[in-house]
Amino acid sequence: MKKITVIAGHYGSGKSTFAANYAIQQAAMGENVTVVDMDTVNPYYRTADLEDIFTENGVKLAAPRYAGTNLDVPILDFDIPALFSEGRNLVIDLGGDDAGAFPLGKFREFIKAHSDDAEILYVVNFCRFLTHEPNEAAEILREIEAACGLAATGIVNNSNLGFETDSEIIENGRHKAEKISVLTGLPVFCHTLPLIPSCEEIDRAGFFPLTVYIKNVWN
Amino acid sequence: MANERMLMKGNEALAEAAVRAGCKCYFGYPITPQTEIAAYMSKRMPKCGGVFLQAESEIAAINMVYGAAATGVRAMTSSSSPGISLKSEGISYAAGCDLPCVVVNVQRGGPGLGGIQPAQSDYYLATKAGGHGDFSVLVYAPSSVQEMADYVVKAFDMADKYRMPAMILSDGLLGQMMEPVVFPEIQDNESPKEWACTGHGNKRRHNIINSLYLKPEELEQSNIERYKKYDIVKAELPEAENYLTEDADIIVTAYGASARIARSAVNAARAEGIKAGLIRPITLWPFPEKAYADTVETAKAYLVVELSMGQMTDDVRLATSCRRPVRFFGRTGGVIHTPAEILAQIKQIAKEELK
Repeated sequence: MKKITVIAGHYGSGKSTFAANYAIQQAAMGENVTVVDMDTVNPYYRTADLEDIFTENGVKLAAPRYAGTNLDVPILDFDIPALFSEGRNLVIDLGGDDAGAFPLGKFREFIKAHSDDAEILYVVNFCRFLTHEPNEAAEILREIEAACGLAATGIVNNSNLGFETDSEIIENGRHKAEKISVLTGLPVFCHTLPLIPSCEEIDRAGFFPLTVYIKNVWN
Repeated sequence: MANERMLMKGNEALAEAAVRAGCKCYFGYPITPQTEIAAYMSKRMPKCGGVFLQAESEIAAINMVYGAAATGVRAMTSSSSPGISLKSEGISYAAGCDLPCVVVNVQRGGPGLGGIQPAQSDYYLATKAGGHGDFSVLVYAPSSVQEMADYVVKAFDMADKYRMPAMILSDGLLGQMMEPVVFPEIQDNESPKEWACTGHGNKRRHNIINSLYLKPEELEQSNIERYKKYDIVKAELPEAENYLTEDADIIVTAYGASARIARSAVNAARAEGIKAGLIRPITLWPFPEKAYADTVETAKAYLVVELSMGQMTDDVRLATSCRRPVRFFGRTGGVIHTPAEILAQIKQIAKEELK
């Protein structure tokens, strides 16, 4: 676990879900954690929506002051070095693709100066259409790295088909994660396993168990 | 990967299916919650020899669609509610020229700028008042990410077949949510377009695409001809899904995202011993009147559920010839009804109408 974790990835790869789970896991281990919502691209399904869950789990949330309001415009009114100086671990959740990674560039020098304390994780779901193959996912990673001027340090394999994820999907995802690891030279940080009914039979050993906070409105 | 299932947002699935359906030109202007369609097209179109163009306005975009469609090319634009209002003039022009094209409306709350959360308050705009003049457009209302893909293909095919604009009436919920989707094998259903302006090459007379008639009798005749076509469309295209309606006392009716929620409520009502069913219109124009007429002898009451103030209610009253009570329950402004709220409405109707 590092003092600074940046979560990047393709749109809909599960960045916010992973960021929330990772922060809550750190808090459960007794760490002081702040989740930073740095999505300036998409106002839907943003980390700040999970505020109540963070409060319940003792995680602090830093989000643009007007997130989820009429003034939800692409601004960052917080400062990463200032948040870091509070002495809490930071889990920074970016927006999707290169467009979402771009604002991190503002703090590039700060993160480089703390590179021993920082990790940059690339979340990938191989069931997403534009990251279906390892080489496609690697291309989006390169675009993200170019946009923020920072290199990723690990892969989070978050392959899933939503509530229809099964053991075959999980197995295929693991296989492709190993391939992208070879392609990029980056280690697999973890393979996630969603805690949903269709995955109950799968042995959790070797997985990062993932609580899914997004619910279908018709259930 | 032809038949492999992918996890996609409704907007992405619609865009990919449009490309596979042979859409060669996409013209649009960003507006939440449909921007993923434009973003997707901007990356995808250059790779498949198509055109992506971000126009200077919604009005420009629909007129670019008009121009592309006039050459017989499959063309599409997408927007969300306020943007569709702006496109209305162009849609009327396309209808007046019998041009096939696809317009996607990922609805958000209104009126005015409204909000960015899901709504279904453009039912009238889509089915009754899509612009000035006597005309209609085909309106498909998908209810899942899979249907976002399936019905955009059908919209292109039917728009070509009947030479008229087709609309996909979606909403912010369907556009933004992610579900597994499989892309159908695309049949080449493009009808030959002898009417298109492709250059006469000195081999035929000019094809003219125009909606201006200065002689009243000619304009009237063109309207009469178009309405004869609409009669055929009304006979051939209505589509609906009937769920547990055969023995239903109370029939809930809803389209799009609302139908997903209404179905859960119907199941919950059945579990409590109330004979409930669901009619889900898939085509909103032409309205699937027969799906309702077939149930009117056995049903005791209908409940219209929409994310609006009740725009579909009158069509249900007409389709049931006002022979049964038609109640309405809706939420607006981006608020989404819960299955429990709809169930409470069903129970109330059961108490009042099933004695």
